[in-house]
Amino acid sequence: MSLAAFQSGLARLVTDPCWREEVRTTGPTAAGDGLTDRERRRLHQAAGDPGLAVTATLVRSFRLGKILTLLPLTRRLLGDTILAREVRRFWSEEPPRSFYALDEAQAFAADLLRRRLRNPFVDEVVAFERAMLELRRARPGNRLPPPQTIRFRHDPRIVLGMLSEGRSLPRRLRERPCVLQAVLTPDGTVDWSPAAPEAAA
Amino acid sequence: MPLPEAGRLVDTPAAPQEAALPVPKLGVGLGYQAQLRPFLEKHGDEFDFLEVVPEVVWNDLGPGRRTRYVPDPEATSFLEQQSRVRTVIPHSIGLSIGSAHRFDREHVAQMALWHDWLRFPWHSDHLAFHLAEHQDEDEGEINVNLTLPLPLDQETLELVAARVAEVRRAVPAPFLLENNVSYFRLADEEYDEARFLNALHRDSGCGLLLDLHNVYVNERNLGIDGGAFIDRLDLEAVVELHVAGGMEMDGFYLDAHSGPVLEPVWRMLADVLPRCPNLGGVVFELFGSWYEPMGEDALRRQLDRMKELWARHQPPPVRRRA
Repeated sequence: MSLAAFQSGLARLVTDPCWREEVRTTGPTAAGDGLTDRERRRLHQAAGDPGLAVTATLVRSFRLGKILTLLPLTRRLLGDTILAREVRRFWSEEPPRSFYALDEAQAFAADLLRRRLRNPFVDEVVAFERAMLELRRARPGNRLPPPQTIRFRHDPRIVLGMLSEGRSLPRRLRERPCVLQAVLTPDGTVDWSPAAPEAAA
Repeated sequence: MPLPEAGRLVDTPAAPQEAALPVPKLGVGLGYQAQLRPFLEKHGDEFDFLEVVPEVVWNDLGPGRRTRYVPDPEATSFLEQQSRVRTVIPHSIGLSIGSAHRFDREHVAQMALWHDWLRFPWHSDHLAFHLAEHQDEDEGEINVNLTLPLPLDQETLELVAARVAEVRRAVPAPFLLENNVSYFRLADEEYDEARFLNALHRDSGCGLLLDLHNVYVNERNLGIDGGAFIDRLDLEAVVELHVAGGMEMDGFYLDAHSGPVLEPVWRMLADVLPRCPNLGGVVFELFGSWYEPMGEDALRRQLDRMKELWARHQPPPVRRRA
């Protein structure tokens, strides 16, 4: 269906700046297959319209707001420059999928965990925030979420405590591995307890 | 009646082709945002009805799930309380009625459940799309999270009109579509916006939600003549009006819902209010994060001015019995 292909193209113009530039500079033929000539012209014209760039900025701002709001410790740990680089890379591979902030933040956190960044604290901090989000995820019938297990390389009281207070972590910290399990209780609080190391596998 | 959780298909008699107007005169409404709850509780006499975006009150787990829509218990409870003293109108952002690749009938069924719950006299969504197929078929769907413009062509008119008919069969209340705001134009459209909206009303029986701030934003950014647009519009089809404030960014004026209504929009409201015989209400929209910078007094002033204008040009609002 041609209209569906056109809408797919317009959505891509808004979410994929590289493709937008390609369509803008190459011309209507770059807009893709399955389109009428008028739809190709429309996409080409939109690609060069400053209003479409503003639309793209609004979409990015909305997306970024979700990540900044729900992953504050990750932001503090990585700093804005590295976070922006990682967000750009993530978005270049993953278009927006959901209206909900939690979905976007979870997907970005999962992506960060796959990245194996050199920061010695990143895995545990991201895993912690991701687990907290998982505990907050809406579930049918108000069912309680499954317990979340996080493997820490460093003392979580120090790592999470300093980041929560807005302080930067030292370059190095003595390793003190532990595995903790977080459980959401019926009254909405999170209970932490030590877990067996194999639970975090 | 508590909000049902699970989606279900609704089997209701077919709606008549003509629009089910008129609706009750509700008066001045305020858009629900969680940050506004203290205001809504403290200043219940400042507005006549509450409008709510359902998508902020439920979590959508995605199409095809056995239980797709999971209500937020706090927000649901708040709306339940509000609905006992005033009408609550849903203004959805999730249907994406213009998406050509699929029509979200589960969303429609969910709105029917909401009607069972809230018994709203009308409901609305946007004449736009935000869901589209990913360019690679196996990559699923993109949700742009912003209303994108539909080409105002005959093909779009037929697509949307057929879907409006489905919505009207499923949800036994008038259904309105809102004029879109956009920061760019599509070339070579077969209809201008007013003619398209009039044709959609005529062919589908949908009512119109005329967002005056959207008109103003389009005037500022696209250079349309807002007054001429309104003059061409069939104002008998208008059931609801929206007003809001915005902000500047990169040389554009944004539909940011970020503060007080600007004077040109007040002038539009004063012009349009007496010309809409089937009007049910006018709503002030404010994003929750802007409530604190704007302040309680400024919000009250917006609502007071809206009430003054309403009293001058429309019959007194009907009151819901507690």
